[in-house]
Amino acid sequence: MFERASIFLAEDSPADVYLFREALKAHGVDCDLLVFDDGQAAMSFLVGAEKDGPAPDIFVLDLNLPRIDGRAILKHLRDGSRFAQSPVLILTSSQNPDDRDESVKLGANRYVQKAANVNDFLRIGGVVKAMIREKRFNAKV
Amino acid sequence: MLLGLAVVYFLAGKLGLSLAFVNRSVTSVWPPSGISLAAILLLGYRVWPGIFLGAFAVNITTAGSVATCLGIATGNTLEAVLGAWLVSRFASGLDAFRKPRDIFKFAALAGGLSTAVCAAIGVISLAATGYADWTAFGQTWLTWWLGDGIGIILVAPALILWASDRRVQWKPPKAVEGVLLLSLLLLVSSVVFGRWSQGRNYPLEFLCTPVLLWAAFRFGPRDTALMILILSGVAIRGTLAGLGPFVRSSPNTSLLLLQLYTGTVALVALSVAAIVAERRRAELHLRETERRLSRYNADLEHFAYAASHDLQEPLRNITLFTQLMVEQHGKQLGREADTFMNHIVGGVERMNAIIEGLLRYTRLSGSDVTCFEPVSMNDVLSRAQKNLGAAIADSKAQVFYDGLPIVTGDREQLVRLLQNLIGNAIKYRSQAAPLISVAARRNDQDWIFSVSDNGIGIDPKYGERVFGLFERLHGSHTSGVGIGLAISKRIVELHRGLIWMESQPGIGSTFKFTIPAGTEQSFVV
Repeated sequence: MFERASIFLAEDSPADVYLFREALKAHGVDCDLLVFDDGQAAMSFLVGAEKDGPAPDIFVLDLNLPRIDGRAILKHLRDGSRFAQSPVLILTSSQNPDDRDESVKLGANRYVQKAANVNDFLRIGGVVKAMIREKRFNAKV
Repeated sequence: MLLGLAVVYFLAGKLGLSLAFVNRSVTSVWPPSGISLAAILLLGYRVWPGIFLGAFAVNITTAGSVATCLGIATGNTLEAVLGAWLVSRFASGLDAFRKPRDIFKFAALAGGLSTAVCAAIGVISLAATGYADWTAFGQTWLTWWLGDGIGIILVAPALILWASDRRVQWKPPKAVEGVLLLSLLLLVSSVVFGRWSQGRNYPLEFLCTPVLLWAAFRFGPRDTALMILILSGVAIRGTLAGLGPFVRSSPNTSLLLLQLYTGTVALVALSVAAIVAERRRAELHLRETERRLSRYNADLEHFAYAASHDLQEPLRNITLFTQLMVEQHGKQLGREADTFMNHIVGGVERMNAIIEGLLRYTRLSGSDVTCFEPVSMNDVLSRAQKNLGAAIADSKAQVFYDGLPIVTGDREQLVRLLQNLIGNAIKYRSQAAPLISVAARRNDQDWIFSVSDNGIGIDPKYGERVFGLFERLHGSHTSGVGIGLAISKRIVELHRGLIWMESQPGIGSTFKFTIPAGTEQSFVV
């Protein structure tokens, strides 16, 4: 339905990475998935990609990551980086409303709590798809 | 050490005996008794030979035969040992100056009792060997007794308190205050006992009290004891020179009067200092406890959050992957796959409910200080009913209630309480639709609330057990993890009330709880 997307995923749980792939598959999102299972690796990639190199269409961040957490990555993205305008989706199991407020304040576009039911979880693929479409539409305009 | 103590005793004794008037060996100023008592309390009973040696030396070089001096030295040593034993046994030993009660016990036992014994032994030793007149026994004994007793009251506290805590860590403003205090004490004591009073000898001794109280309120027992010693020194010097309010015809009478005055003032000042210090310690302790409590609560919150996240995370994965497995491979797994999945998912849901219940229970246990406000129990009941909306509709339950009162409490907790009790009434229903009635009546001090149902009831022998954590007395055919009533009990206890159950199997249960009634409560219908 649209050209191959590139998705940046910072997620330390292999189970959630698997489910995320399933969710994308379920919504027919054809993509390259760049997976980082700890915050440090994610940050190194971002620093390396600052000048040139691949530019992901969307950044999906878990909040609790080893070494550097999702908040710090989000802050780095929004803090004048090359990806300051890119869509960011926070995908977390946190039930703490403060985390949602903080994420929005730091510049996240969407905040989704990981569902405890497979059908609900798979809906995340639709959210990602919609965000990519919106980004491309804005880029054209 | 023994020799050192003997030397100190000797020098202090010589100083005291330079003020001996009724008999060369008897004086109303006897600092060695305070020194020897403090020495035994601080260093232990083993230092008694030092005292004996010092006492013998000071007396043999003054007057009396070897026998006289052995008698006196025995009395003096016995005084210190007996005084120390009495103080350790009955007046908290080295901590005697922390509480007024102990200070007065110290004065009576060490200052009054042990010295009376010593004075008797001393005067008998003198009289028996011909160094004192039996007819003057009373006067001699009194001077000896008062001299020793007041020596103990004035000198021992300063030595003990300074030996226990030698640190002087005053910030600059405090140091300035200390210098001011000392200057004022010297000024006032010179006015009362110094040259200025020559020829006037006005009874101005009361001027010293406020200065000592200043020390007591602002500096504590240790520094107060030192101020008393300084005052005593200035006063003795002045009185001997015929200056100050206590000067009478005989120097012995003058000194006795002065010593009585200083001893009394010392007792009062030390007591005040102890009370002030005790209060300060209590305040510090309270603040420390408060700090610790809030740290514990913060830790608990943190733990609760981490536990909820870390425990629920794997459970979520179990559910998701079981569902995914059945969805994608259900055909290969066969017909029972769905049933198995439902058992797994049901188990996980139950585990989640237990974790949430436990967290709720722990949070309640951690919160001793809850925000209490006037709460209408009518509102509480409607909120509880609303939260239970689905369960009430499914079971076709009816909830009846009269007008409920306003109580002082935590709204959220009270909603949870009624919700738990009504929820239980629905959960443990019989074949008939649940009829639940909520009522309140008042006795002298409390509101007594009751939640009655027509459910399956429970054997009254479980009356207490139902409120225990993880107690489930109905078997596996009903849901529930056995935390609801434990939480309810905790909530009632936080409101300083009681909760209990009355039940008949097959007829129904009534849960009753009390909430203290204040003056502001009124009936709202």
